[in-house]
Amino acid sequence: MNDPHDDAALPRNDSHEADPAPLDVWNASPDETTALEMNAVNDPDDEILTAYLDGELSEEELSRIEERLDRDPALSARLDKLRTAGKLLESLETIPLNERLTASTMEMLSAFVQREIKAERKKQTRRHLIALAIFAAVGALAFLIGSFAVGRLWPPHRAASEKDMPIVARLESLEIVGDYEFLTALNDAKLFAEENSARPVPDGGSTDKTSEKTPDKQSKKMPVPSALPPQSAPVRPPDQTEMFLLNMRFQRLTGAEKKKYRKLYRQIDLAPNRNELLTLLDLVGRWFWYDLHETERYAYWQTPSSERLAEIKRLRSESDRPANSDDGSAAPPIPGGKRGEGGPFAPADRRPSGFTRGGKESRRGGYPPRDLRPSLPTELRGERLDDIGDELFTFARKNYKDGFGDKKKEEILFEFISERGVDSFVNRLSDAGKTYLATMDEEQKIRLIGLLILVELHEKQFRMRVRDDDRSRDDLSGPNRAPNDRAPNNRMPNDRTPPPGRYAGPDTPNAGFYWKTESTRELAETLKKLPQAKRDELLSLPDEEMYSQLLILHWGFDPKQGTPPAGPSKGGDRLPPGNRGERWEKDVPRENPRENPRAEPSDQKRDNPRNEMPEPTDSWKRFLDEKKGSAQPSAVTSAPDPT
Amino acid sequence: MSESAVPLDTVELDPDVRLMREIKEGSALAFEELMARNQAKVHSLLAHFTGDRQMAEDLTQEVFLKVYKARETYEPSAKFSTWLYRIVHNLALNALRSRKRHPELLFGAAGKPSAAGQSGVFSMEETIAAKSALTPTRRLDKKESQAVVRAAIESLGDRQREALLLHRFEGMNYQQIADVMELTPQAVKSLLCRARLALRDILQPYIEEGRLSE
Repeated sequence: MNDPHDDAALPRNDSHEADPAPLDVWNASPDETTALEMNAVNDPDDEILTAYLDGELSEEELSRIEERLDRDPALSARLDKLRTAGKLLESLETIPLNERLTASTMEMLSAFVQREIKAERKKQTRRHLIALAIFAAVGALAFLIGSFAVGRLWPPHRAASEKDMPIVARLESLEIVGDYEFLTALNDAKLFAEENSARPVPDGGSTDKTSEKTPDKQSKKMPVPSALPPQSAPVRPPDQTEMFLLNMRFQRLTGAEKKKYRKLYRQIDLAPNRNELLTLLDLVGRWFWYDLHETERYAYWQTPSSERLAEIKRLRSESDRPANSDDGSAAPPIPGGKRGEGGPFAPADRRPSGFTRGGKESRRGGYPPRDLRPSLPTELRGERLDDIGDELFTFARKNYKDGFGDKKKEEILFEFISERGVDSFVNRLSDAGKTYLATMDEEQKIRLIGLLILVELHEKQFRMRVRDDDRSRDDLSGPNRAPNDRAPNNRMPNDRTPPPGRYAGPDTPNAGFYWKTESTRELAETLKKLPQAKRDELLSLPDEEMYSQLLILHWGFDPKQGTPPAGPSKGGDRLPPGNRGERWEKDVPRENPRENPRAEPSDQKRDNPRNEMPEPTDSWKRFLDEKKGSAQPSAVTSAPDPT
Repeated sequence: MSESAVPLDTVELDPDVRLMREIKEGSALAFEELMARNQAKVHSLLAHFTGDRQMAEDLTQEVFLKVYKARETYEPSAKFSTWLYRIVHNLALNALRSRKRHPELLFGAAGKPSAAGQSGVFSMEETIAAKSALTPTRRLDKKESQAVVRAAIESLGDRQREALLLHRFEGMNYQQIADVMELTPQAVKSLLCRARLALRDILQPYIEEGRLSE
């Protein structure tokens, strides 16, 4: 049993003696009252009546006393007197607290902790000296023993503590929400009420106050709040690989960021509507990562905190908007984002336009496409690049008439911008747009022009299809052209090119084409699909390097190499923003985790080389070598052959 | 990362228990939060128990410092409030014992004002007012009623008073009070009974005369 105080415990005293003469309570000494109170004997009826008023009687005792009270007016009168006196206790007010008390207590505690830390450091220094002495005394064996001993002194680097596990599991959602006030405002706005209604409770946590009064009566078992939501939760909890990656992301946070998310999670955990908030958190995370277009996610991160609730409202209302169709009727939902048959313009088909949707049933199908224009900076939302699709089509026809091969779509897009020079696009904007971009450097202009082009292509439902194995069916469709509905593997391009933006990592400057839009689930997919040898090699690296290499493999871009060289360059040298190795066309449909995040990741198909991560392109290797300023091959070339 | 439900006692769900776990890990933020959740109640109870606001503040600080110092030994085998109020109990009784050894510093004991009255919860004026309320001239207003009730409570024995305050302010049941005061539930029942009877005896004249307002 805990005995935190060093004061002598007061003796128990259950003895009872006859009560002496009534006490003069105004004049008796404290010692007299103490002695008397411990030795007095009570009238049994008084004790029962007191226990009755305190609600401490068993059911049997209760019914007996109530029976007696009904029969015995004198007893009832005694009860009333006791009750009245007891009620007067209710008038006792709470004595207000001095506001400085908390602060002064924390100051005292800080001084105490400082003393503790100093004492602990002295102890550690002694331990270190002892360890060194052991090393010197027994040589190699002592080094092994000492290493083990020293290792025990330091906390593990990679693993989050058990108390942080719930935070790690929900890290992506916590990052979106940011603070408790925002989450409660989001809850009050009921923007996710439909998904949240009639959901199973994430866990059995309860802070029912009644259980505090009589814990011995609360014999029912409550499930422990686990680190992850149970299987019945609306969102699939992260699997082991995802937790591994989430943990690393968590470890890469600054101390202030960790503190922020711990505080946020604690506030949620202690809230009266804890379960509701946790469910909302999971739903927001799922919606953000799997229902939003990458452009929209990017736009969300750029939105000032004070406007994010409005941005979510806007995005939610966009997703609820019924899709149009050829015959004007609302489009039925498309379950699981499965690729439909036929082309997008076919009346019978209600495929989502432009990009796939994951998770819940897509509410949109057909066209017009979702409005991504608000994803642009305000100053560029009114800008147009007319005929950009035709120009891109012409460029692709000229440079890739034999097909795109392994060329990444985003590389092609940025080759397109580079070939013409970004200023040629800037000059086509209005004066306001030009003025806005005039203050930016080359790289920023490329990013924003690239984003504008993407939005334009999306709005015009630009389609480009290539088939490697059937050149007669090559079809670089121009804008607004109906696709060849009969073409097998008639696949809509993935125009989810990530627009550039900031990188959230603590050690990467806010520059370059990389930014945090991949979800941990996508990274986990990348990791799982690596060959075993490559995966083992990766996991043997220190955390920081491992994560960086994984990002390189995922995006095909090393953010630590910084920005690409300024100025126009010939196509292929400019490093494009990364993508996930998506192609415009695949001959083997590949399940996209975005379409169905509930699905467990498929096993790596070793017999299908297209499922392996691609080798970096020559242009990228050249770029990396240039940046390194050496003739040695880049680190990525040490990546093993994916086959 | 087990996702299966594991049966656990409701103690584990106590937010203060979870905070204590974090405090054990060294979290200052958790400690600050624990204080914010419990400080006011502890202070109020100590103020009524000791009858001395300054002493109550000092003791409140001591209580939480002891909580922090004892964090490594804390095990969530019981409700946190039980553990906390045991610390309160011991510190308060020690302080009172110490005060009794120096009677010239007493104030408010058995309703007697002294030169040290200014530091008390109840000012000399309030106590005099309470005393003057003995004269059956008029119905007492709320403030005066509170003063009479406070004086009545102060007149109780230390243990009776403590049991009564734990019951009134913390809503503890007999078992919980027994855990805090290291008594049996029957002893607590007896204490509370005597406390109520004593209060009844002191306050009944006022009630019968219709002077005390509930």
